[in-house]
Parts: sequence; structure tokens; C-alpha cells
Amino acid sequence: MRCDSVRAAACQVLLLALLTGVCSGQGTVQVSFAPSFRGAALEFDTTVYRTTRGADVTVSMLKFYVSNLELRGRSDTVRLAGEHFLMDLSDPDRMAVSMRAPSGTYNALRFTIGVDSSLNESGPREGALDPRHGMYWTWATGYIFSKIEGTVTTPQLSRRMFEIHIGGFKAPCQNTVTIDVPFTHPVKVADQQMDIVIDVAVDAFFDADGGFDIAARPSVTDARQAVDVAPRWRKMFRANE
Amino acid sequence: MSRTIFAFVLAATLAAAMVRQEYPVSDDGIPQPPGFPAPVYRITSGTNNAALAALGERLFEDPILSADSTISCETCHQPFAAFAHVDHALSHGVEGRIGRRNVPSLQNLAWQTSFMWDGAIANLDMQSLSPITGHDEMASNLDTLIHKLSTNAAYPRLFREAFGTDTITVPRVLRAVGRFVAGFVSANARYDRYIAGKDTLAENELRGLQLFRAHCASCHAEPLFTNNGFASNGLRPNAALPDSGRYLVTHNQQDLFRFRVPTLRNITRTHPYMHDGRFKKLRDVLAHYASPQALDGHADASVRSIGPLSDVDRKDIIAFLMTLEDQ
Ligand code: HEC
Ligand code: HEC
Repeated sequence: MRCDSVRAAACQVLLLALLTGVCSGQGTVQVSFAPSFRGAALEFDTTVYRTTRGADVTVSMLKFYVSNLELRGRSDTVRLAGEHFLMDLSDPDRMAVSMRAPSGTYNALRFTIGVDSSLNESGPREGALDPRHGMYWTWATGYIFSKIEGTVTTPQLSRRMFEIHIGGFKAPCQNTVTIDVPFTHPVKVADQQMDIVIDVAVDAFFDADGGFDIAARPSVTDARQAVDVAPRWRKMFRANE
Repeated sequence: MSRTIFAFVLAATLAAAMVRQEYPVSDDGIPQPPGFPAPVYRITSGTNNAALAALGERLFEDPILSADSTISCETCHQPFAAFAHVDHALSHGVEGRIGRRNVPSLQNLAWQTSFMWDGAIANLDMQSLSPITGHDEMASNLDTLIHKLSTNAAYPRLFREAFGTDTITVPRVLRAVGRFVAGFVSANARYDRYIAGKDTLAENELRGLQLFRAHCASCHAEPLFTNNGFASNGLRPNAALPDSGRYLVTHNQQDLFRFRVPTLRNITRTHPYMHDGRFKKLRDVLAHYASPQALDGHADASVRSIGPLSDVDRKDIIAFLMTLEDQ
């Protein structure tokens, strides 16, 4: 498509505005997710963890979509990015997202685990939402918002795989989860990059609220089964300050 | 906003079931037969429509999409059968794996609002992900598939023609196949020409049309012969092949044993019938609808009210259904 002169001028103005914006009050925020189990860094595959329900688990996969990131100040909220990011916490290259944010002081981070409902029903997308990443239920419409996979062993049950896949974008199985992570020390965004590290406590998935009986429910693979499991994700995130 | 050009309806290689037709086309290149509503299907901008459809056609016919390169879309969706699988009650995938449902015809998909017998899929481009990766169908791994296509002698060029660059991605594969199947248009049956005032129907066919409008059209609505809705037409659940239909998608009790209302265009070519292929002949279908006492308890009221149809009524309805065959 041809860019006429009026448009070019408009582009230049926009570019200028952006550049001055950068100089007068923007910074970079990097949000990274660090998986843990009872306070220690999670070791994938090799370490066996015992849940409060008495199941021995190993974790082989921890993937999720994070979207609608917002930084919240005392009075204002800034939206960081409209995109969806696919985090894979067993892959060091896919544990962090970097975004521009206006300078300021912020008290909390908010984000969604899941994929906006409109994107679930629209056509195929490139990038993080490419179905090639295995985060799409192919026999039905809809993204898989999160996956936790691994093995489970109990005194009664010999070692077997578990897979907890959460998705579902339509009532009564609307399973996106909004996470609020308050900071005890306010975060200042200025010229240099600000790192926000979020601890992802996998133990909370298994142990919170009286515990999840992973031995009895080793397979959650559709939106309906996920309804009572998705809220467990709310317990998993806190700021690592 | 549509121009009249020579609309690409179906490739010349495909049998004479549905043929090249002159219709106005939408900006998305989807033919717009007179009397049809606006299509639901949209292509993504930045693509070359004709090249996209040509790429989609090639992929549709190519067993490269299956894990062991033995099965193409066409293996199950046969061109001469309005893209259904003639004489097969259930689908047959790689290594002879039998699926759980009958292969539906593929026609007028650009006007369809959901796909599969239970409507589990909401988007036509996304639909082919299901057969490509499905264990009982083509069982492909997507990374392997992209590798096979990228190292193929022909595909990089075809992708460049359609998308501007020769990068091969899953979304591009899906868009090309979706665009091709969205072009399967059935709108040139004797019925259509009768409606357009260009042909006549015989006495028994006209009687059949009247009976059809009285008993069937609330679900199989003209001109698409589906209202895009879900219903129970009174089939008793198949004990050998349990399938709760729409309930699997909504988990709503009232959707138990409801299925997508299928189109009846080219119905003479797409036997056997119903989601499990239980009826071989149209006369079996009519016998079903005309037996109120044998209907399942979930049957919608509009099916219950059909009541016993005389032999002549049934024959005339079938005579009318035969006018839905594309010329
Ligand atoms: C092994 C046989 C088989 C193969 C191969 C196959 N399909 Fe299908 N197709 C089916 C069956 C069976 C259904 C119905 C599935 C259901 O309702 O659960 C179907 C449904 C569809 C539908 C939905 C139609 C409707 O009216 O809802 C479309 C579109 C479709 N297939 C396109 C394709 C494309 C494109 C390919 C190749 C990428 C393909 N199919 C490969 C068997 C097959
Ligand atoms: C209440 C809505 C409803 C009414 C009324 C209805 N049908 Fe159907 N019809 C359906 C549904 C739903 C299916 C698919 C059922 C299934 O496979 O489980 C279907 C399937 C069919 C099929 C098989 C299509 C295929 O591709 O396998 C034929 C043929 C058919 N109907 C003809 C008729 C005729 C003729 C009448 C009138 C006598 C009629 N229908 C009335 C809802 C209806």
C-alpha cells in the first residue's frame, strides 16, 4: 500500500511523540515468573515433592498464557500490553515478558491467566497464539490457558502421569483467572529497566484450600472439568521482593 | 459491495457435482448466490485470494497432511459425494482407525456458524486443526507437518504466492484450507432454478416442496436447508456408539442428544445418513420421521408433530429432495 505525504507527516508526528514520551517518562518493565515449591526453586522432572494430601509428584511441564498486564499505582492504572504471552517455566527463554511503562510508582501488578474470549472464537493467529504451541483444544474451539503436567505416585497407586489442562471462555465454564500481586515495596519505573519477579508457587496448586486430590483427578482436559480447578491458580502468585 | 466476476466455486478436477458458476462474489472472494444471506466467513487481509484458494485446494488433496502421508482431506470428503464419504457410516483415518461419526458433506460452509455434528468448532479456518491432528483422522504432529511442508519442493512457492512470503506456519495452513473449503458452494440445483423462475418442478416435486415446507423447513430452512441450529430429530441414542451430541459442548441438560441441523443439499449423494450413518436410504429417513411412536423422548416438538406420512407423501418429499442435487 502507498503511503501518501499526509500520512507520512502524521507518522512523523506520531514518531516524535513516541520519542519524546520515551525521554520524558517511560521505562522498561520486565516481569519474570520463577517457579517454586515450598519456597525453593522448582526442579522439573527430577525432584519428587510430597503434597499435603500425601501424593508424591514430579512436575514436567508448567505453561500458561498471561494477558492484560496492568501496573496499578495509588490512583492510576496503566495497561502494559494488549498481547498474550505464552510462558513456559521449564524453558529459561520463555519465563519473562518485557514491556514499556510510563514512569511512576506502582503498588501492584494485575494480569490474567487465560486468553480473551473473542480470540478463542476468531481465526488462527501467529505468534504466542499459534496452535502449534499445543495450547489449543483441537477437537473443540478454545485455547488451553494453562498446563501442569507430571507424575503422581501414592502408596495405593503406582506411578502414573497427570495432566491438568485449564481452558474455557464461555459461561458456565468461564475459566480465566485474574491475579493481583501486591508489592510490599512500591516499584519505581524510571529510565532503567525495572525487574519484577513473580514467584509461582506450584505447591499452592496442590496444597491450598484443603488440597487438590491429584491421585483421584490426574486428568483434567476440558473446560467443564476445569471449573473448580482454575481458581487454584489464584493462590500461586506472589511478588518476590 | 460485490463485483460480478467469474467466481471460483470448485476446481475443474472435482467431479461435476458442483460446478463453476457465475455469481457475484463478496470482497472476500466468496460467491454470493442470489437469495443467500451474507456469508459469515471472512478471510484475513493481506492475502491473495485466488492463490490462497489454490494453495488450499492443493493441501486439501495432499496426503502430506497426515502422519504417514496416506490420507488426505479428500479421502474422507469425496468430491463426487458433495465432500461426504459415500457408503461409509463412520470415518476411516490413518492405519484404518475408525472414527466415531459419519463424514458430513461440505457445502455452503461460508454460511455455517458452527462446525461438526455437535457444533464444537466455531471457526472454519480453525476446523481443519481437528482432522490434521486427530488421532483417528490424520494424526499429524504440527512441528513435523511444518517441517515436511517447508522442505517440500512446491509448497514454499505456493505459500509465497498466497501470503507474500514463503514462511510456512500452522495459521497459514489453516487459512488456506479454510478458504478453499469456504468456496464449496451449492446453489445450482433444479430447486434454485425453480426459485429463480428459470425451471419448473413436476407435480409430485411441487407437492413434496409443500410438504417439506410444512414439516421440515422449520429446521432445514431454505435456501441453505439448515437454520444453523441444534435439534433432536427423534433418533434413539445409539447404544453401540454413545454420543450425547451438543451436550458435549454446552453441558446443558436440554442439549442432550441434540445435533447440528445438517443441510439437505445434494442429499442424494451423501448417504448414509445421520451423525452415525444409521440410515442407508432416504426412504429409511422418511420412515423415521413418519413414525411418531418410535421417536426418542428428546425429540423436538416440530418432529413429533410431523405425524404418520402416507406412502405418497414420503415419495413426494423424496422427489423434492432430489431437486436439491447440483447440476
Ligand atoms: C478420517 C476422515 C476425515 C478426514 C481425513 C478429514 N475429515 Fe473432515 N470430517 C470428518 C468427520 C467424521 C467429520 C464430522 C466430525 C464430528 O462431527 O465430530 C468431519 C467434519 C468436517 C467439517 C465440518 C463440516 C460441518 O458441516 O460441520 C469440515 C469443514 C471438514 N471436516 C473439513 C476437513 C478438512 C479441511 C480436512 C483435511 C485437513 C478433513 N476434513 C479431513 C472426517 C474426516
Ligand atoms: C426439529 C428439527 C428437524 C426437523 C423438523 C426435521 N429435521 Fe431432518 N434433521 C434434523 C437434525 C438435527 C438432523 C441430524 C440428526 C443426527 O444426525 O443426529 C437431521 C437429519 C436429517 C437428514 C440426514 C442428513 C445427513 O446429512 O445425514 C435428512 C435426510 C433429514 N434430516 C430430512 C428431514 C426431512 C425430510 C424432514 C421433514 C419430514 C426433516 N428432516 C425434519 C433436524 C430436523
